[in-house]
Amino acid sequence: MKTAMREKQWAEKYPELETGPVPAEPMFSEEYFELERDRIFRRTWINVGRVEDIPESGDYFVRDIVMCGVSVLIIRGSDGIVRGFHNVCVHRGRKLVLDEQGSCRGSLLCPFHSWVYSDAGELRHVPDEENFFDLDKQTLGLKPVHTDVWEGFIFIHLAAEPSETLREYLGGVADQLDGCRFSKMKLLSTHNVDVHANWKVVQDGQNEAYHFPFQHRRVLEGSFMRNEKGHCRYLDVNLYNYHSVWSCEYPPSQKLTPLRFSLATDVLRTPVFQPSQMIGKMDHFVIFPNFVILLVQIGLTTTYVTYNLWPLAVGRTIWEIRMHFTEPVSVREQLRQEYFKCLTLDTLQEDMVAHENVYAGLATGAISHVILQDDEVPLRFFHKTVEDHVGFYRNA
Amino acid sequence: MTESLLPDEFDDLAPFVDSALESERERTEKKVTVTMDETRAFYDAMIPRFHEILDYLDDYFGETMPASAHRLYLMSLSLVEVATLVELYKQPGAVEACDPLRFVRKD
Ligand code: FES
Ligand SMILES: [Fe+2]
Repeated sequence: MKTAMREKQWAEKYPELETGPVPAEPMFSEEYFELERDRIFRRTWINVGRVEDIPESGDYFVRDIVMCGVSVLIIRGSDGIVRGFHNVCVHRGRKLVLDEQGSCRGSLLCPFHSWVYSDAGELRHVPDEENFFDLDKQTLGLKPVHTDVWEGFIFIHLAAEPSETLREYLGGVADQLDGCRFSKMKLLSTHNVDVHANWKVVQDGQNEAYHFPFQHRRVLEGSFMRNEKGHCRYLDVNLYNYHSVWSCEYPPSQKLTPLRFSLATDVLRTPVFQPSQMIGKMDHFVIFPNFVILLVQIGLTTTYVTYNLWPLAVGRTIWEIRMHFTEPVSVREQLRQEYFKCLTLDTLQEDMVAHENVYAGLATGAISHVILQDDEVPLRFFHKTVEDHVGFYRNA
Repeated sequence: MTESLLPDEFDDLAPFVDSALESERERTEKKVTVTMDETRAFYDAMIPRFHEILDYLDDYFGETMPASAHRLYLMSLSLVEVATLVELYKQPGAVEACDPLRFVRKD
């Protein structure tokens, strides 16, 4: 496969997106942020974790979705099914589970008055039951939250009735990545960083390669395919119903440092793992609204990084970063994975400075629009998708 | 006789055994607090031996390492963490980057 070096090709592929500037206000407006709460975060499928986070029956984790003011309990039942519930006891409303994750033996107990729920959310036991009025345990139980799993990724939907199934919602992304065997890659690390920026600014800052040769001039030096003028070019861009992907190729040879050389000597002995679902050597999938799956080929094997962007306020976001690798077969490979982790974190530390200063700059209100080039087309599409949900300008 | 800190053949690296740090947090803290000269001295001592170190450690892959080999492994993790400063950035951190300690390891 060859990277298409032509200029302005994505506007030809997606003419309906047009090429004009994009309004800046949604990235710092309190009013817009308020609308996003109900019109995006309560109306889309939101990734909250992976099935490997709760491998055994009774394993659970809790997600406090601050943006929506909800606390969601994800638990694997004795029947193996992953379910989601509001993490709230139906007696007097105490938050049921206070730890972020844990494991129970078949049942959950609310410490306040010891109501007991099964790991499938049914109300099992009420102390002094006879002293209640018309209490029917059969009809009571933890309040369910729509929960579904695709390729091991657990998603929730906060609407009473989601307008689409998870599969319909993921659409072309699921078609592309079905069978990608994510579960072959194990979680190595999770990092959280508290970013002083709007969640969309963080999403945008990660969602293009235009900045690679500038902001990442040293850490990513020579890592990605560029044209004769030194600009990164994508192998392909695909826009799905709400989601997008851009893909990069690597240049024929990479910069080899003494450390990389020592780490690479057994690289040919590592088992080959290159999912055919990948488009380029690095595929950056944005799953609307706040989730990213970044698939990266390293050596003969493949790794994936995920980002979850958790808005706290219009100008504050928790950026959660998880990195997953195939089972290492040598110390060298363990260290190659650690090296990839360090390089990625270094890159993201550079991105942080951009995210926070873009937000600070936009929030001054000095510019009414941002100007996008052809390779920033995923941002153009993302902002259109945001606005399609929010309808701020539609009603104006 | 006290057990040596590092495997005999890597005795000469003993001055750098303070880089044998168990957690990522400690390694990052050290990376951001030491001077560039100290980082370079550690890198310069480790890198010519790195092939040998990796061959040595690979013999223990999948087994519990003796304490001395484990220390060498932790020093290798530190090398992996700081090598970019010497090889790519030529300065104590990435280019125009935020404080690495703002990235909080969760597990
Ligand atoms: S609030 Fe949970 S048992 Fe009373
Ligand atoms: Fe970046």
